[in-house]
Amino acid sequence: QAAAAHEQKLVVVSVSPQSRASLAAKCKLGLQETAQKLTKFLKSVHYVFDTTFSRNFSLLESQQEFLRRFQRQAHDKKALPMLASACPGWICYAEKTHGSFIIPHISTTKSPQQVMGSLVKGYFAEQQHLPPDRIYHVTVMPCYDKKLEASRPDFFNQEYQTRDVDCVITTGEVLKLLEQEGVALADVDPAPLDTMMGAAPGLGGHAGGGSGGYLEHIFRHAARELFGIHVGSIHYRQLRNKDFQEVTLERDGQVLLHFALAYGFRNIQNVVQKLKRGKCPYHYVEVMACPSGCLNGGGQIRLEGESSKEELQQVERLYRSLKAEVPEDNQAVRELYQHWLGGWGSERALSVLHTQYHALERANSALSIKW
Amino acid sequence: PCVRAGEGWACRAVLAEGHQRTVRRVAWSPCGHFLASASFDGTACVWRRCGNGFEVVATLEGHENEVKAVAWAPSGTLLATCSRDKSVWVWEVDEEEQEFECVSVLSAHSQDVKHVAWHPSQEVLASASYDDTVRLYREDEDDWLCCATLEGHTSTVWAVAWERSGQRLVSCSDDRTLRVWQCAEPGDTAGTGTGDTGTGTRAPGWHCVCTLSGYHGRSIYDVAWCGLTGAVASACGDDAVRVFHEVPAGPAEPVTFALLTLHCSASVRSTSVEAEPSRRKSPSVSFSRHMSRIARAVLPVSFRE
Repeated sequence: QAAAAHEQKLVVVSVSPQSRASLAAKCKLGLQETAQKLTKFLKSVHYVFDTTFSRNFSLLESQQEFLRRFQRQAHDKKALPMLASACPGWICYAEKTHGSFIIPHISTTKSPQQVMGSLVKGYFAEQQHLPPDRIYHVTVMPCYDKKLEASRPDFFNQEYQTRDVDCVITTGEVLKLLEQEGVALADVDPAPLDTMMGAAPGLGGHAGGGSGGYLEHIFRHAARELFGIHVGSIHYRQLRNKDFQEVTLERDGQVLLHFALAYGFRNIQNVVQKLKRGKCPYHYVEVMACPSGCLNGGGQIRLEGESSKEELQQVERLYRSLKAEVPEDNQAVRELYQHWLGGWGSERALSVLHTQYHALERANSALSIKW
Repeated sequence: PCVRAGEGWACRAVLAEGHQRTVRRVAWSPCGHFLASASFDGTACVWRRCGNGFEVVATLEGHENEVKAVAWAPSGTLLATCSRDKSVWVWEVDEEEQEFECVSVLSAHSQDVKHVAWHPSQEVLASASYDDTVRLYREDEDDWLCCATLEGHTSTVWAVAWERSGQRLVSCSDDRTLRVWQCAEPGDTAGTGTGDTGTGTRAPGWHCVCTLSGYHGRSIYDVAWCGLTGAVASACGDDAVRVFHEVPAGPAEPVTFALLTLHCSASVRSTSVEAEPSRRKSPSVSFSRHMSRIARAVLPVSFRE
């Protein structure tokens, strides 16, 4: 349908792994089948990508950013704790409610959706010999806040008057499309998967849960680079509730790293309050707005007949079933850094893969009081 | 009996250093040592007596805009706040740290939440909203959830009050009615189900058992349920305070309330309360001094017990 509306444009759809897992659970298919059949279904569009690829960049940049912040914490009081930036629900709330106090703590690394936007309208456009405004980029995401993220002015390309991500549809909206077309995904023939560069790999995932795995990747990387410690499996300690967990790295009784997961606003609130009182013990917090993380996002498919807990567990099982890859080992990612991003840690890489935030001024007009 | 502002009441303290905008509501803790205040500046403050005055012991931040109400649970360890941001937050006191931690963020309403009120003896919370509903909440495992939605009002619900037993609730609305709600299973105050199914049906959950319409000329902004006598008082935009008494009825008979009206004069500097002669022994209704400045608008009403 997007293709019909934009006949002159090359249409690219980037599907998130969380949306894929939700569809797989609903249609009772495996992940590989779901990916291939979804690719086929969507193809009146030209390419269907997986945002797991762009997530590699978000993870690598986050790891590196943490090291920089850790190393300057002595003279920069706002360097730590570093707070995750991939969740637009959290970002919009932080900008509106906590503003300039919290913004310096938020990671500047772009989310996988927006990295994909930069890659599709940048690298991929060049490969296709097209200007960015001749590509129409759609993403499939597990929540509605990703639509807000795509519409941020920071992600609008002034030169070509085009957005990095033109349209976001939720997993539920894809299901509606299938239903409207009278198509059962299981009945669709599989199509080969597209990749932005290189040969088609199998589907891969990342360690560390359904919201991207930021805590685990940053933790392992920091442990190795800062302390020479190789971390095997990570042990979480649950605090007040299942959406608030912490992880520590200790040596000789000393705490070297103290990280936390804080999902849902009640836990986010408590982390921010501790921060404001100068009592936050964490170096890094993986903040997500949705309880249970992205697999439980507001745009995911709600299954009928089963209890919501069971359906979420099924989605989590499917999501976890893929082999976890290490971002550093991804050949295509390395090549992109080298040949298109100007090298690891270059100014261009920082400019393409990072963003900024803006405190929202609240309207304070006495005339608009509503009791 | 008349209650005049200024007689027998002296201003003990002015708490000016806590909020940056309108203070919408205050609430004393069950133990009486703490005062909570809800403000349009987006925060709630908790104050403690300190010498002749009060000091802020905690500021509860997190709501995205105006906080409309704050209420203490009977245990004294939980607080609830509600806001124009459509959410209800539950906070828990950490006795040692003298800190408040957010325990739940409940986004069940679809519009501005005007009021919250705790069950008199259980940790069950009620909220009233611009979305025309009353909602109930309780704890479930490690979170809170909305366990009932009371539908029936046709406009903003401004406030709710619990009956002392906790078996019934009364709500007041822009639609100029008071509605009394009851839970079908006695003791099952946290039962599920929605409201108005009329009389005669016994489905589990909350039902509207009485609607008082035709008594109020304008929006009803506040309601209180006397814990001693069972009388219900309402504060209305038509300049009147009304007190209703329940008419005794058998178990299968419909619930009704009869009206006893108390009028406020329009010149509100000196407000007077006249009771119907036969009702001289009714509990007196107390007015805040603050009321004299609001006149036709928001009118807090509470029973002096």
